[in-house]
Amino acid sequence: MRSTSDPSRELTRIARRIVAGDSTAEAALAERSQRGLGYLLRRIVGDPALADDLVQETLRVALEALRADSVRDLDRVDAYLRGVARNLARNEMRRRRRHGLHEPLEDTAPLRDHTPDPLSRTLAAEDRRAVWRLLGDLRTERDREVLVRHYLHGDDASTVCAELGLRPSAFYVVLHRARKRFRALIERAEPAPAPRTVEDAS
Amino acid sequence: MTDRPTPDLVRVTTHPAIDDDHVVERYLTGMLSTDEEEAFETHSLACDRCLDELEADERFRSAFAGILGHLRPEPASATASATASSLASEAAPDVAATSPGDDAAVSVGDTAISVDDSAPTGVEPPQSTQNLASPAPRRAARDRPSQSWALAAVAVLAVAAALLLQRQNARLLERLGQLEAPRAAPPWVRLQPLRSTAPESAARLHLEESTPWALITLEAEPPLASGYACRLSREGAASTLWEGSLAPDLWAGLTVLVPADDLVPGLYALRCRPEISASGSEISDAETVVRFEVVE
Repeated sequence: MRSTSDPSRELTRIARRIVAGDSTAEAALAERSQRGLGYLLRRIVGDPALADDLVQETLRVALEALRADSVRDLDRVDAYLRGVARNLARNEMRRRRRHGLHEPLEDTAPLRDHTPDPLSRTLAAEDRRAVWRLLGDLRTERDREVLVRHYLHGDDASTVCAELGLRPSAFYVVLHRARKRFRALIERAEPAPAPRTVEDAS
Repeated sequence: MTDRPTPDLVRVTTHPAIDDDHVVERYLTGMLSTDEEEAFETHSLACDRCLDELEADERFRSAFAGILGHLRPEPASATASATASSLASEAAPDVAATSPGDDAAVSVGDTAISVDDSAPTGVEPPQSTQNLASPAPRRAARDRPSQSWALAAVAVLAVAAALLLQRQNARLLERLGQLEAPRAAPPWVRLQPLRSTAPESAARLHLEESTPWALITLEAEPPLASGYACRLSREGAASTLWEGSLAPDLWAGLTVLVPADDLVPGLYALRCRPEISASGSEISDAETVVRFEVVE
């Protein structure tokens, strides 16, 4: 579901309904927050599967706290969710470092199939093609260099700006335009999971 | 009392200020202050507009990494790398070699090449080089004193690698141009169901090195279905090259456009099973399998 209202207020309204005992609001909380929690946790832990687990754990902790009316400030339930997510991620990373783990500790953890499904593979290939096209479309060599240095080499903004003589705002504009173009390319390619057909190519 | 963002944080939690101030870009590049980052992360938790941007960046980043993986050669005793600007560089390489420590680094124009000293003496030059690769290790190279007989060998390797890089770069540039340009008579194999599964009965598809795409068409047998579940795979390989649904065109053709890079020489099979009946009647579950061979 997409919402155009203030997302923070919307979460607060949902949280109040949960505190009031409205069990249907629990699904709404998950629906409104799991996408954002998923992104945040993937950014922190880097592992999509682990991030999925942590999203579920975050929602479990939050729902229990809301049912027990133990969340101090419902007006900031979004900040509360973020805090729970970050704490769980930090604890999990610490635990893994301590045990030298790359996989969950639990013996009962189900075996995961890490092989991407056909749709994911097709989308990934489509994304790669979009990047190729985007690189080919760029008007200046400098823009191409900015993208490659930032996204591929991992150079930070200040390094790229200093070495290419760019103002930060110009650097951000290049990133913004590139992402916009990339989105347009992949949106044009989706939702069809197939490679382009003859009609598309002609 | 509510603890809403203070005024200076409002600009990282409200639209259109988020767009005007490049907040997403600043967040993604780690240029927000701790307070701003916290406020923006909290805001974006349920903001679809911001999440669209953030997830697009995630895919963009991942696609870039995928390109690198696509270009990365098998581990070799020597690797070469080039910055993006070397894509367009046609200038003769000016070679500046610096010394080895654990490894040696050589810069060739805009290109930096690192060579592992621990490799056997008969080090082979890179079989394939990569563009858009890792950052140039020039700084490490400058920090090390120049010495060692290995330097001469490294310099020779550097020249060889630079020539390989230039050739590779030219090919990639050409390929970039081909992605958008119209192309007449592209490689196309039109397949018909054959009763024999012997490799020698397979159609052949010639692919030149410069070919970006190949068309593969299977003529579906009557009675036609309106949709087919199809799978393209390389014989003897575990992975599927492509899988998805195809609808027949006016000539009963089921067509897939495949990047030529994905078609290494070998025997391939396209399997199609009718999944939707055009007339609503019961459809056969017989799978049609056709094979073709990709040759250089």
